[in-house]
Amino acid sequence: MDVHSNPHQVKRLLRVLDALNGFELVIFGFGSLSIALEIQAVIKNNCRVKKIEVIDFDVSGLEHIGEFEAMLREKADKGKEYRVFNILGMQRHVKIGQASLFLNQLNLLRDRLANDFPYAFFFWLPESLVHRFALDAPDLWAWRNTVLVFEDEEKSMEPESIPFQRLEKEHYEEFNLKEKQSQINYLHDAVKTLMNKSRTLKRDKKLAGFYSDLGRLYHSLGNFSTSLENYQKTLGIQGTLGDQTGIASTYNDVGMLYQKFGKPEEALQYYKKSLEISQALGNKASVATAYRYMGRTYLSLTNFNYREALAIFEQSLKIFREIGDRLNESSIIGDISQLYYLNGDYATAKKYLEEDLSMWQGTGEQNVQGQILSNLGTIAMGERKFEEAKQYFQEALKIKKESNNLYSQAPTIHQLGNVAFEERNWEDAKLHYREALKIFQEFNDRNSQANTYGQLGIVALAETNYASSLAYFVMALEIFSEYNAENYIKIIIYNLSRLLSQPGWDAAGAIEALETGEETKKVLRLILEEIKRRATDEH
Amino acid sequence: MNANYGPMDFWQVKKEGSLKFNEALKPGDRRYVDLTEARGENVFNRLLKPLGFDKGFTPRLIDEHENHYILFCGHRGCGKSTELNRIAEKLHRPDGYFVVQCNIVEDLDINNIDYVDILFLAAQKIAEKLDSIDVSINKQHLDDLRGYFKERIINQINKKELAMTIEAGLTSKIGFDFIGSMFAKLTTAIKTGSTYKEEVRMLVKNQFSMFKTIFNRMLDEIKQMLREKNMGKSLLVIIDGTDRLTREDCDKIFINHASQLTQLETNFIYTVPIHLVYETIQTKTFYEAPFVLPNVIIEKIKKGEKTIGWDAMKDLIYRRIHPDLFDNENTVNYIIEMSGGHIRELIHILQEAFNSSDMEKFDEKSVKVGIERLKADYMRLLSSEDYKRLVKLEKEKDKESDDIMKNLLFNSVVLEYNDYYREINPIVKETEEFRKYMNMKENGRTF
Repeated sequence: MDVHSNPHQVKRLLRVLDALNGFELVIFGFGSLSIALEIQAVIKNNCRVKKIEVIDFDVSGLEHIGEFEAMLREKADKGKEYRVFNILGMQRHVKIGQASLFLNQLNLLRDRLANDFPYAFFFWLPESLVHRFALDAPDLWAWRNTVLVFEDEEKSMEPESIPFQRLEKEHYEEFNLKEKQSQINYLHDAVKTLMNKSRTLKRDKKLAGFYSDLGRLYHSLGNFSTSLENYQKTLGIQGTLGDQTGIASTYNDVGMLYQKFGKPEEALQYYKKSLEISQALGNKASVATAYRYMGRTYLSLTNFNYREALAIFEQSLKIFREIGDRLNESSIIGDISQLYYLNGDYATAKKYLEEDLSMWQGTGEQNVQGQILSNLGTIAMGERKFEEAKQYFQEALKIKKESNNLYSQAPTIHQLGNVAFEERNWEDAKLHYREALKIFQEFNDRNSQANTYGQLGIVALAETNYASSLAYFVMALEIFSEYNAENYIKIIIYNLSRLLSQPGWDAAGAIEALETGEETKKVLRLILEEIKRRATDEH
Repeated sequence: MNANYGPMDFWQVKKEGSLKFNEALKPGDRRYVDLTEARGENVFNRLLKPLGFDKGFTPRLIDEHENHYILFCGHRGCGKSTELNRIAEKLHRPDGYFVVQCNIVEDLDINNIDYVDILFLAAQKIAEKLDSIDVSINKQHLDDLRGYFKERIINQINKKELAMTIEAGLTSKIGFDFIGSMFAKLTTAIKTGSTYKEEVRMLVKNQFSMFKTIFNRMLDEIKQMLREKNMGKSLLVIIDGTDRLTREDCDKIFINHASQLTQLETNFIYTVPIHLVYETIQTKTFYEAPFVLPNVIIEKIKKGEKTIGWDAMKDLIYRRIHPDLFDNENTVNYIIEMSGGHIRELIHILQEAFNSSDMEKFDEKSVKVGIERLKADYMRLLSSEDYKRLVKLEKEKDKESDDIMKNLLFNSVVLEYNDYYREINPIVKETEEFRKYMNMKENGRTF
């Protein structure tokens, strides 16, 4: 029966922690020091989230139980919040073949503490000595709340062997479509293999990791529901493992998923939950990350509060600076700069980036420099300084090409297309857009593809190449609809109405000739009817 | 809808202390169930008769001049302290006893207890209780007592500072306030200073007959006064917590010093660990036959016929947990069956089920998982010798109380019911190990 497996014991431990109330007595048996430390970490993290103080109490040096009681009471006098006492070093008092005086005395202490010491006592002993509680402290044993025994997993678990090839890359964005699919196949096989093994903490942790990877991969493939399903499985396992750090990180993942699929309100809910846990755990990097995601989500809200978003980014920036995480610091500076840019303050936006760039020059961090240059180009675009923008983008692209990072080149190439577009250089614009599109397709970045399709549609419209413009807009519209990207959908529909109201071409015929689903055609017909109706009204 | 039902919310069950067994319940607590009949017919008879009460707790014939020393035992967690609270309440009446309760765990140094400490504590509690209801005492007895302590104890103590501490503040006290304070100071001295402790104890022990005479004179005076003021026919002191002592300390106090404990001329009930019941040779000279609080009889000796005990246990469960929180009545019946009528075991099962429940309900699955857990605890505890002894009990229904059996009783592996009827704890009976040993015997194989 599964009842005694470590994951099952952790689940019971979490229930015990959830229900702590007044005087509690739990006896912990551990198979090895490493498992004891692991479980103690689970206790500490979960108690932190619940705002329960955990106090480690080493009794190995104590001779008399009176000392122990006095020290306990001294600790308990400070503050009133609930606390858990981890009583460690018990094994020093247990000698083989000899009754333990200390345990014997504890027996009687229980009665006194039970009356006026409304806290939890977790006694830790090697598994092989747990029975000594029953023998030497029969009274304490008889009044135990429960016994939790954790087996050593190092011995019990055979070396992990999953006979499939796994691709190791830092970010899934760096995988192209084929690689992503092969990685997904690997993960599904690995999950299947693990499911057939007996439950251990190690197995469950691995399983959670695999589900989380699957969630991210399906996310990057644009499959919302399968991604969410995998994240939910991850959360389920992390919940039974009491893995608060993992839960916080998965909440961020789920938030990003909702964010990408046009549900910023839901995304914010998840980031907030993640933030709360990370704050309780005192995990600064995770707090800063959650802030950063929240800030980015604020930017995508229809009527975002500029000051609120800035405050959140600054919180995040402060923490990243504190812990010396330069890469994330730079990334936040990019976000702040973008915020000023969106607010029309190009000068401040630029200042942030230029300062940041000077910090990175000569460091060999080419990816970062390329990104900053690209952002500077975007600002120059906003200022309508196209020649300057072009220079930034070209420089950025040069660096990115040097660092051999194909995927990161695509957005810059797209931006070069934008510059050519603004200069009404249709041929160059088309060349750049098509080049970017090829990369986006290779990496299955569907959102960016849609964006580029939209631009190609606008170019075609400008060239009065109406049929091909319509085809591009429809492709963009279909992808954006998948992601519920409302703002982008609005832009495409606006451009579609411009296209459909062009005189001198058979818009209705073009719609019918499209190779697309009936649903899309219906939408297009509706737009067309609306245009005609308005035209008649104006007459 | 029964107003006495426990919480209907899963988490509230834990919050409201329904899974707690640390505290002895006071009469009036919602969780309290009268188990008198459920423990067996006339269960308290043997306790009440010597004290002159009938089984309905009505005083019939209280012999003012006879003193009784009663050992009160039972399994850990079978409800001793809860029942003692109730007994104290029922016996404390003008036509019954003036009852004084003490708990050594709360007031003494639990690591090192001597019979002298218990006597001091008893004296302190008697005096404090009398003082609290403003009763006075004959000045002559008071002066005798004061003189005794001044001369024989305080002046004899070598450690000056201790003598001063004890004496300080006593001069202004009068009557029972004085006696209470004095014994309280002695108790504190014994409790805190391990170096003084032995000295004070030795002083009393070396002149025990003198201490006893003066103390008994005071007790006599008190009893007389209680009768005059219509506050009780006699005095009864209940000492709780002594059942927590180690076997060693317990034997030292209740067997080696039985004669001193029984020289004090009033009525005493001491709680003791269950093993003392089997030391009859040593105890019967001094004490009444020990009173054993039996477990609730949930089944009449294997006849399968449900008894009043079953309903009482069900009542006990529902007063802690609302019936709606169980998936069905079979689960409740299963819990009762597996508890063997042992209250703490019953609550253990509920606790483990609470910890294991997936559905926030006490359902069949969670109870089974919980019992699986408890089995592991017992298996950890039992040796092959123990299993063999259990098989013998199961096959032969013997009543021998050898050392192994005493330990099995001590640890609730074997449960005892009314009239010393014994049964193996149902959870132990379910373990694979026990079954293995049973089958070995059946196959005629030797261990």
